[in-house]
Amino acid sequence: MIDLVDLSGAFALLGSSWTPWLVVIPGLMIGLVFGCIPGLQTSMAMAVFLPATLSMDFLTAMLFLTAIFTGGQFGGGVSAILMNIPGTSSAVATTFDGFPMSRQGRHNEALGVALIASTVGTLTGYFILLILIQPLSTLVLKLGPTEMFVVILWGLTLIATLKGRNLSRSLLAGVFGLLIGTIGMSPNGVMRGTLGSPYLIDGIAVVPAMIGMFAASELFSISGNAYLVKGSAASRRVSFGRVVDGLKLGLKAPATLVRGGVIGVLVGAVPGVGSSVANLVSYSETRRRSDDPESFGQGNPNGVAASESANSSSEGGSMVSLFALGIPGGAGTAILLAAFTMHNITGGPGFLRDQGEVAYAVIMANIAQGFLLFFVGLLMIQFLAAIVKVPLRFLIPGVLAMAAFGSYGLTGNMAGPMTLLVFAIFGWALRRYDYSVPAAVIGLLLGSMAEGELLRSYQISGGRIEYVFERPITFLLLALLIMSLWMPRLIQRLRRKAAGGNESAGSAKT
Amino acid sequence: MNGDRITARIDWGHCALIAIMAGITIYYLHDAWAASSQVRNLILVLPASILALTLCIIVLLDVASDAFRPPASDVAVADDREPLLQRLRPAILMGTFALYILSLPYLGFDVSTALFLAVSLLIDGERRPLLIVGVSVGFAALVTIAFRWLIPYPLPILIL
Repeated sequence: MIDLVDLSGAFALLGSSWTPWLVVIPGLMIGLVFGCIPGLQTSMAMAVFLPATLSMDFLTAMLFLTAIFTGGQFGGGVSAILMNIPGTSSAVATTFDGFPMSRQGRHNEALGVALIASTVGTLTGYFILLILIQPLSTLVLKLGPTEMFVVILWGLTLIATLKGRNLSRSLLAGVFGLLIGTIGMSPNGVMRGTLGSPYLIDGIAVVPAMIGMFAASELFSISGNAYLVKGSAASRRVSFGRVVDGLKLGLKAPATLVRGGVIGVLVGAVPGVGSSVANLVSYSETRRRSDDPESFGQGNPNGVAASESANSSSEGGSMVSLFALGIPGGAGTAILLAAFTMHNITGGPGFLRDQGEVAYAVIMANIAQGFLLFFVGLLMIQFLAAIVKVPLRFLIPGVLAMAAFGSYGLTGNMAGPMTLLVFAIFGWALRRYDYSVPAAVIGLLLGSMAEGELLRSYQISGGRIEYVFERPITFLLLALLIMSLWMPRLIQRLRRKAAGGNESAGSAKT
Repeated sequence: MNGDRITARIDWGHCALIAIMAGITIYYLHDAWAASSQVRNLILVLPASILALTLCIIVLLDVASDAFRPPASDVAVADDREPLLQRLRPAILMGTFALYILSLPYLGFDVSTALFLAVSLLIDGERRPLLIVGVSVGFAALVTIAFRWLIPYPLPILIL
């Protein structure tokens, strides 16, 4: 199941130099800080720090960005526990029991449970990825351009259907992103939509556009919201000894941790669904299996463990579609794909075939990151509890300025900052009117790839539409695409189930 | 009278966003068609444009139907109570950010960043001059030096 030649190559890559490892701890710290501050997202940190990876080699860049990703998943849980505000969308279920634990004065234990659950979750996710990546790569190599095109459309539809109130709005965002992603020189060598600007010959500068839509637009939206800790939360002190008690408490529920880890990988592997749904599924499942389901929502540590282990392991799951298909399943993996492009590496089947040792090296390094998260998280909990109190008025202009610097660094001219500005305003407008920003970004990122795959399908088939009927996998994928339009209802039901259960438990107690 | 109320309830900002997306789609389709009308060139652009324009119409109809729906009174009251400055905050920040980006080639990254930070802090209600100057100048200097070291291109700067 594991390609031992590539695996030994991965160990050689990771062991040959200290350089890749030097970025891991700073990456984890950045992720923890961005994750724990409500309003700042992990994907925002990855987008802002993406230009800094220009001077790194590919493996170091991947280690740095995945360390931010890993740190952010736990960071999101800190503000969920201390302030009842999920630092990231993946920590929603952590608030259900984390905050009640805080109100009972058990916030240290809750932080300890969250830390051990995040560590176990990250490890589970990447161990499963390590085992599955080889069989997946064999399977994926059987996919032709027609299947790849339908997979892109399917992923995009899934992402669009899960975000935003209105399906048509989010589909419009995805299709519009796909369309403008093809601006510039076509795969056929025709120049289109450049407005005569030489800056657009290679298309829209995707990374500055992505930073604008993910990071800057979100900062515009939250400006004016102080997100300051109020009342008792501000006076909450972190006690190292009681956090350690929390770690022990978390370890007493290994089944919850492992189940959360497995659910996180499975749910996280579906494009668009990812960690924001994985934590809810794991929480519902843990409560359903519990002998005392009424205690959930009242400060049950198992609820925190279920949520945090699932959101952390979903990172490994989301890597499946990125590594195997070259298709990002969400904001974080979209940025990783942009890092692939920046380093002239094409994701997808070819990546696993040609650079198997790099793929294994990233997985192995992330397993090590899981252990490091434990120590870095433990040492930083005190600091994180303090940083949630930093007013956003200092952070917002600082992050925006860094985005401008980074955009210039990516293009080497003013096209980067100008693209950042245009897409920051566009992204803000999309958020304001409840369109899916991830769908627009992923459409933009995959536009030219989708056109290339479609063109190749046309060339292979000679323009015969019956060709689709001769390919059962394409047919199956098309069926999945249509079915995915019903996904929002399913997720809504799941959310209602998870939240409704808590409310009923709460009302039963009072 | 009733017509005026409906007109007032139409979300014109949203309509403008749809118009911009539709306008860009039409321009792009026209430009792509003019460049080459072969199937190979339009294989994705044409169907995606048709789909985008259809979705624009659907969303526009949705916006119009929202205007005809009786307003949720509690939401309207809540919006009215929100201070004007609070509602304008994103627009002010966007304007400041736009000025910052446009000033970069003239004032350099160092001076523009320090000014942007200082103005943003002032707008956000910070009134301690020492803190404003310290944070903005310190941050601008630190980030400028770091990025000069990090990126392989010359960075436009005025002082540093």
